Amino acid sequence: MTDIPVRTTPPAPQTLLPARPEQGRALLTVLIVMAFLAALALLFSRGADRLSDRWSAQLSQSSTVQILLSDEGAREAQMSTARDILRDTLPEAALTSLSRAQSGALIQPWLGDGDLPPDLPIPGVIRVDSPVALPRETLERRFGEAGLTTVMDDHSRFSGQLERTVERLVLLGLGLLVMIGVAATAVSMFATRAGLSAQRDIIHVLVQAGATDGFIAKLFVGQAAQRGLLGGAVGAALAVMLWAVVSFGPARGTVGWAGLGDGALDAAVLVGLCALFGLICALSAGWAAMRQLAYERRRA
Amino acid sequence: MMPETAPTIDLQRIGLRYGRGPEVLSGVDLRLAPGSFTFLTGASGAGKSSLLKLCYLSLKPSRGLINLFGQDVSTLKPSQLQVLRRRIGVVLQDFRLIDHLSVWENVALPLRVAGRARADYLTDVNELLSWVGLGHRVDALPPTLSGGEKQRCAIARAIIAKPDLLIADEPTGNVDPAIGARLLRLFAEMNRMGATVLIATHDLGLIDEVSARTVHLADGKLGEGLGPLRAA
Repeated sequence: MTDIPVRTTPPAPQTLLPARPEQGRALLTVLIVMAFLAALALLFSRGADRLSDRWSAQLSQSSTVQILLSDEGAREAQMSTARDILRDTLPEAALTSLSRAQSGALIQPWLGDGDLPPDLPIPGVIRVDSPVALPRETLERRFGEAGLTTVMDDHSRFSGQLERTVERLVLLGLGLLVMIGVAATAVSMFATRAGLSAQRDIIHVLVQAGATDGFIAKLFVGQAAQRGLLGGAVGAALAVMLWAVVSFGPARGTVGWAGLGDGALDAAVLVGLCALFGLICALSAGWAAMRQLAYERRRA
Repeated sequence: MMPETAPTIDLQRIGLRYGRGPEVLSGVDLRLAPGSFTFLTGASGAGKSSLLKLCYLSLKPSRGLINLFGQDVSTLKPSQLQVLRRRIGVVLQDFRLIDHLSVWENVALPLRVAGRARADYLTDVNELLSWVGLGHRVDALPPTLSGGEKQRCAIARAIIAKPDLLIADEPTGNVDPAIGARLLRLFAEMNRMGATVLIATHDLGLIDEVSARTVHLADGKLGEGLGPLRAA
């Protein structure tokens, strides 16, 4: 009765569940690795999508027109006619005519590097760099009217294949993300069950003090959300560092960032990924805790 | 305390067995009127702790009926059971203090669980800790407390929310006689304020301190009086 309470303000609330640093560290490491892989999958998907867009844009601006010469002697005249038609139809386009030697070099892979016979008809090639797509039908009609036999290649077949490939890569990345999300859910549920089991005595005291299942589950939800957010942030940061090396290091110009704008956009998406990671961990922990507590109550 | 007309505890034909073992309690009937003070005695292993567990809803009986505060607990939803548990203060034999929480936090736990604002119960917790002689150890962690200090901390936690029913399992087993007498006065004070008190004890000295009803458990059966304890 002689004790004088010295506390005049309430102490800061202590967490009702102990930190369990050893188990917590192992679990956090798993979450960091999962978040790292998820972030890489996301960055790769977005990078592949951007690369596809860049390549498609470049391809759509560059085309070639082959003039199948009726006679090698008529090369210059027929090439000149074709250039005139192209210039007239596409005034904005830059035209580059390949010489006979340059055109011959293009078919070297098939005919070898020996001297080509001088009378071998080698198609005339004009490269067209245009901000707009080739008006194929108009050009075909006008080349036909001028008596020219031509083959136009605007790379549409190649760019179509490229787009389909990238679509599959993006889907693959998203599939990986979903798989990692499922794994994160399972890990969080497992950790919550293990936590409930390890903290059985504390749970018993809380139940005896009148804590509802929701109150107890919230403790695990808070822990899991913190862990998920931290794991997500560290994993994503590691992925960003690796991606920066890919983007601005030796692999520059491939799937990485083309500039800081891409990086900023991806960083914003990764912030969302961290939040999603925390949310997945929190929800799965809450669900697992409620289920486990109900199960324990039925068993009692 | 709200005046109650129904018995605080009404156990009817209770049987309890663990798994497929023999019945540790058999045909137990126990009625505790609101505001009553009762000692439960019995030899070690007689089933006192099991009977108390039934009373504070930590166990379900194998058979029989438990009414607490006039409510048949078998018909209550989990959330309703938790509301009932908040009306019960329990002092367990093994204290069950939470090791990583300070003495202050351990004692304040029932109020925190009930969702009370911390500033509201600051004075209550300080005063109670002072009363049980732990005013100088508010920030200590349970592993650093002596057995007696742990026991007083557990008792403070049990009564901080001013429960309608106070159940204690050997509450003075680890404290010296002076502290024991002081704790008993605390229980008597709680009882005087209207709480129903049920204490399981071997301590005849404690029983002699208070003029109260005594029931004893032997061979899983409950009887009035001290039974063989006094004779021993």
